[in-house]
Amino acid sequence: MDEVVVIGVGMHRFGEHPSLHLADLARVAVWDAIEDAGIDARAIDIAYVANCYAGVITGQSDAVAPAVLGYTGLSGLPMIHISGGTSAATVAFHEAVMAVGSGQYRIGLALGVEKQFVPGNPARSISAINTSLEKVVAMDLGMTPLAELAMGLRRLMDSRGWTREDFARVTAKNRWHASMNPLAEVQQPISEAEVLAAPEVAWPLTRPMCASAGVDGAAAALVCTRRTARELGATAGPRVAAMHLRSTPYLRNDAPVRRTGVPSMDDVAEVFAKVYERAAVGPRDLELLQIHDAVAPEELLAYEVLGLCAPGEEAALLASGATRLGGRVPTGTDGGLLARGHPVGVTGLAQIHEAVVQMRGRAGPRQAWHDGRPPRIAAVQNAGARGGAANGVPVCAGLIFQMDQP
Amino acid sequence: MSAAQRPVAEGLFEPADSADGLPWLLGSGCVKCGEKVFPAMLDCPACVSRDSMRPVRLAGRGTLDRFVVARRGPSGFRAPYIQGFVRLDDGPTIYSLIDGCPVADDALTLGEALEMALVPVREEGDVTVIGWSFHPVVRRDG
Repeated sequence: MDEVVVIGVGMHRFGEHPSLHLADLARVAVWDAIEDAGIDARAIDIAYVANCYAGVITGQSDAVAPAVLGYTGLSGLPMIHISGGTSAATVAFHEAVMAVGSGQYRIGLALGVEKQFVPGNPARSISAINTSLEKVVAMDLGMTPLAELAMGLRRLMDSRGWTREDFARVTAKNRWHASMNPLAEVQQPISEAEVLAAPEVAWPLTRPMCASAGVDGAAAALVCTRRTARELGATAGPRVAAMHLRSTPYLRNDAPVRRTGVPSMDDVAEVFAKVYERAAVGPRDLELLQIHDAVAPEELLAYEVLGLCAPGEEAALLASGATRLGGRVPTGTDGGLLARGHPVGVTGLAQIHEAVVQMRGRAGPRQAWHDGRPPRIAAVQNAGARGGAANGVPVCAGLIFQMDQP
Repeated sequence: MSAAQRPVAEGLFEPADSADGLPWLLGSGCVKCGEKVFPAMLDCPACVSRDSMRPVRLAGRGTLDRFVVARRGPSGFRAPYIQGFVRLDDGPTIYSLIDGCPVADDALTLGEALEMALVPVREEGDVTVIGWSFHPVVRRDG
């Protein structure tokens, strides 16, 4: 496959946007990406649109891609809808990279767009998100993704020495990052004490330790081969150094339990073993990391499964400041899912957006610096939710971006 | 009190018909590798074989793998309530509502023995939807 680079990214601010339609959110992200790339919009020849809940929220189950992209002014290109929970946008990006890397298409657009905020009806937002679970043996019996995440934490806190104070520290860190991000859902910083004092959602999690369900947004990325970028005079890189997707393998009933109890993180080690090898880098080389922190403890667990530290050392790594802006490997520099926001079908592309903006040195007051320059090696970790019979995730994703020196 | 009832789906469980009074979950067992799964399947996910699974009844008895008190729920569920995973004595680990104890974070111990009952899980208009829940062997409602 040819080397693929990101030539443009765009994003609509995340938040409650009751007066805006999906298409209103999408056109901002798409045109921002086009202008960022500096290309003629008519050159885009394939588009993947990630969206999970339009069918529940607006009733538009099918034809989501044309219903959204048609109003951006684009036409004549294949418009492909991708759903699949919290990994949908990463899958859209993956497909766009494959399409152009294979030589079949020239410029690929990956768009994530989602509306989850339902004015005056938070239970409806939760019900929409629940459709990412298997219906009969999970959703219809009251399982919720947030509770499923919380369930595994008791054991992890015992075995790894984590405390609720550690979760508050993750939250306060990411909220501080988001306070410098004008596109974030929640831009007010919060203290660790305030996080701990907030209402409990499901023990041990308080409200700010969880991404909110009622949030809307859009994010987009444009990709092509390095050769095409040169021909078009488009903005350079970073390049996609490696990407890998997989689902949770079946585990026999009598097998030793080696899962973490947090489904989003159970396959990360295997996925990153693959992308580290392909990109010829290791966890020590990462200079920026975007983690799937739908709840704060996922960030701690990610440190270990990504190889940044040994099991049990997660809280110490956090306390050392290594993962804050200014640290060795800042994580969630845009605020993460916790604060930048987590409209489900957009999240992966928001993570990619942040990696690209940071690597280009255009993150403003929240810019990460390494030896006086922007990060050159960045990773994105993302996973889709699915509870039910096969308890595990449909897609666990790992991406590594690399900005080559001029 | 609604008159009409329906199961959450057909073919998932059967009422008690043995001395212990516990209802059954309807799963599958593989004739090639012996793995048991719930809900029922025809093809085995453990040895990945076609048409190797036969129906088996799984006893409504197990141990608590993990749980949480959900403070909020989707439409049709009255929060707070307890969600959990139960490791069935017959093999599979399954999602379940947990009741028969106070709805509190310290009401249950990981690994404790649980038994199953068929219960109303939510209302759908005039229809009561029946599913399963697990409870401590000796109920300890507050």
